[in-house]
Amino acid sequence: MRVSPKLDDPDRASRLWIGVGLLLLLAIALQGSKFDLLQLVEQNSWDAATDFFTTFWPPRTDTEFLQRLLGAAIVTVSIATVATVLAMLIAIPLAIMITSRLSLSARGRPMRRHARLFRSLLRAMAIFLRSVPELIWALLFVGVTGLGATAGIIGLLLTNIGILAKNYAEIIESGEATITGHLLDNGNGRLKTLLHGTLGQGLPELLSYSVYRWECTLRTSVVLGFVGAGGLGQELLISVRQLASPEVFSIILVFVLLVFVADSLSASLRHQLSGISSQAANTSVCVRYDQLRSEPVYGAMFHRYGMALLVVAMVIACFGSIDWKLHQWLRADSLGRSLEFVQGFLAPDVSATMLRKLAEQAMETLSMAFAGTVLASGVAIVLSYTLFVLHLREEKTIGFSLLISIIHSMQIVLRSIPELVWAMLLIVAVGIGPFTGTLALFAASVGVLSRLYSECLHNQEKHTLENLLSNGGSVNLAPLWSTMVQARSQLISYCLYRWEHNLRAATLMGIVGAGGVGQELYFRLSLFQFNKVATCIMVIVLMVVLADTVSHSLRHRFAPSV
Amino acid sequence: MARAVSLAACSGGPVAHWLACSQWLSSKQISCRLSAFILLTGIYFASPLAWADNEFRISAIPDEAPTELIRKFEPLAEYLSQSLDRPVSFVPVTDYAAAVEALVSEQIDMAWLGGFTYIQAAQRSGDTVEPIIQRAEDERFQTVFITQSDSDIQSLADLKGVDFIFGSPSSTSGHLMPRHYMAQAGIVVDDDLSIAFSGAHDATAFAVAGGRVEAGALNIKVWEKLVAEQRVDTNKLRVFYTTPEYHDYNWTIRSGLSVETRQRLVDAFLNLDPADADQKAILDLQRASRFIPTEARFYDGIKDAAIAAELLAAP
Repeated sequence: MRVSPKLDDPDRASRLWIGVGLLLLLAIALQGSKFDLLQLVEQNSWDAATDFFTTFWPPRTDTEFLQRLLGAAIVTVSIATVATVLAMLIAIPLAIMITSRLSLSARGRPMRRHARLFRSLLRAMAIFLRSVPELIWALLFVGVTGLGATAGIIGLLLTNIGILAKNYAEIIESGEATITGHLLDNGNGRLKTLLHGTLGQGLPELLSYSVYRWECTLRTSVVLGFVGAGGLGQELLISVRQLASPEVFSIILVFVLLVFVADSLSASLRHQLSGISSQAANTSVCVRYDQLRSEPVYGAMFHRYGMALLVVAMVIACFGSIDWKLHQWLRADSLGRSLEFVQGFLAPDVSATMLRKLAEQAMETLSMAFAGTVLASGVAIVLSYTLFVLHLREEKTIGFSLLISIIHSMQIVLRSIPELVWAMLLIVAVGIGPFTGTLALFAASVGVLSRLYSECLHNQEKHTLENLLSNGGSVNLAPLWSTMVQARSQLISYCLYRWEHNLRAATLMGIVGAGGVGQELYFRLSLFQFNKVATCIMVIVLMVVLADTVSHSLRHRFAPSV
Repeated sequence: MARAVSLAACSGGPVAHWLACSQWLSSKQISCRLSAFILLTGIYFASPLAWADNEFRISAIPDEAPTELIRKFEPLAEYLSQSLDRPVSFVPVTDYAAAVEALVSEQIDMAWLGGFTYIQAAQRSGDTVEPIIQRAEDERFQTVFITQSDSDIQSLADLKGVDFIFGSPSSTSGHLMPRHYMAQAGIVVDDDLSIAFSGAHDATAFAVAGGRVEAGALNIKVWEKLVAEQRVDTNKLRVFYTTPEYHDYNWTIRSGLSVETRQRLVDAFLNLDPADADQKAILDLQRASRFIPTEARFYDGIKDAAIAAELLAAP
């Protein structure tokens, strides 16, 4: 018996148009990023690449070199830690000032005009800070602080302040509004309300996010080798430029290891923190307080204070290990040079030639980000789906477990190495131009997206899938009609986030010659033409802010649940 | 900052309470990892890493691969430390602009700069840096324009509409001077060509050889070296134009060095003796027959070219 009521998809027309539109955009983006896979198999590229990559093994492991790498790894950790801690110290008050939660004037009436203006100003500042990539801040501050770790720290610091302030404010606002409201209405001051209301709810999440940010900073800090910030990034940059493959391989191994350790450290910290926040949500304060009193937990107390001391010691050690070169800052000529840079922003070059050139390169940047993200997303879906099905089959043959662990380690390697470093490696094989940039974004995004997609598929509720399977659905196809449909909006949202991220990264590709607006920026910086540098930065900020807005509204439209 | 402090002071109630209730700091696993980290940090600090105060630091624009630079400059640093009676170290930097900034901000004492980077350093320091010495070869430096053997390009005028590659934006022989001679041949570089930067001279040659661009310009010395070492295939590449001669590279010292130090440096370079085996090795590494004194005014031509090409602001 065949019942076939015509199950028309009511959204078919709009889906079709969206699909066609996406394909068209992809075609334009591929064109714009000079995408040409044939280039990879050309004799010249092939020779250069095999020369470079086949000499990766064995990595350089002599004691002297490893000692240097250990020192560099410690510098990298120090820079990331110092930048994150300082950014937290600045972002916390900034977030408290940004959020309207603690506004006294807004209780029960519209906020006073100047208070509102002040808040929007601070918010705009935070947006500006995080829209400019770390490396650009660092390049700008090299003139003030001289080469070295300080410029790198300032770069990471400024971007982190913007990101942390935004997310802290969001976390504060995601808390229960009534608690802070009542506290304020009952005549408590803002500081008391903050400590007893806001922090009481949001502290675990705030700390958890800060730890996550530390991990991200560590990963990004590798690109600051460009400003001589020291650490693994600089070692890598120097070794790549000299095409010393065994060294490059050793450095990448150390870096991947470092990121992996930081990743698991941060994951376990965050795991514990999320345990607390759910506990805090479920139990009333009194009950917890009573429990605490009744249990003599000296062992745990000892551990807790020991850990707190260790964290503080680590932070102090990091601060101590940085060569701040403060004397550089206070010199009259350094200040004069930074003034020169500020003047550039006051009178940016908006001549037609400059704008035309920037528009051209901005198109290249957009194409790179779009093509890289879409292609990576496609590959990531296939990868994570395959992994999901493999897990579903529960066949414990050696072949399968081997395949799974190969895919896992590939993911780790792909996502531990920042896009810019991928670009530096790929440039050897593919040469300069936006194609390299696209491939670099693609490589890093496959690693990140396939992991996120896998997690997302695994976290979906399994009832529908089990129903399909018990009714004879094929293991290979059943998830397509259940898990994938459930995960759809989350997958789209991850993809959009990644696109945002890739656009930011794409603005830097030009610095290593991998196409896009970074090329003009680097060119003008080399010539110390700060009025043109200012125009470039404005275009970059404009693109990043636009991408943020577009992605935000698309996420609302297509993935409202996330 | 004051806010953070008062926050900590007032937070006795809820925050301490939260800390006391929490388990997050009690993980044994984490404490092990952290201890290991701090131990490593300790080891690192125990190793001597402080820079000696009286150290004389030299650097160079990275116009070639960094290993090549280190190989080239370390014997020279060794030699100079004997003449100056103080330790001399070579500080590698990652790009041209960084070398300029390092010299101008007095992080290094002397740098091997190109003509254009010297002009940039002079402008950014308010004419306080000084070129003191150069190779005899730098008095008459040249740039070669290369293309694929089978291309139609025969002269600068044929460059209209092609994909062209320069070296670093701050390079004299890889960007400024080729741009200058192209302009003299009636080419408006920014409008008539699609240009890219390879970052270094050898990279330019490889990019043209790889066929990704139709033509490029590079330092004649690097070109000759690549040909001699057979790292480029002369059946595939040919030179279609060589520029007239101009002044290029020099050793520039920062402002504020003592007259005595300056004199010792000049003497050390001038006294390099090809008859002495060790000193011959230094000269060979620098690809110099001998060193000669130089002066700021030799670079006025480059300065004018840079201003005309709008690569340098007019004073």
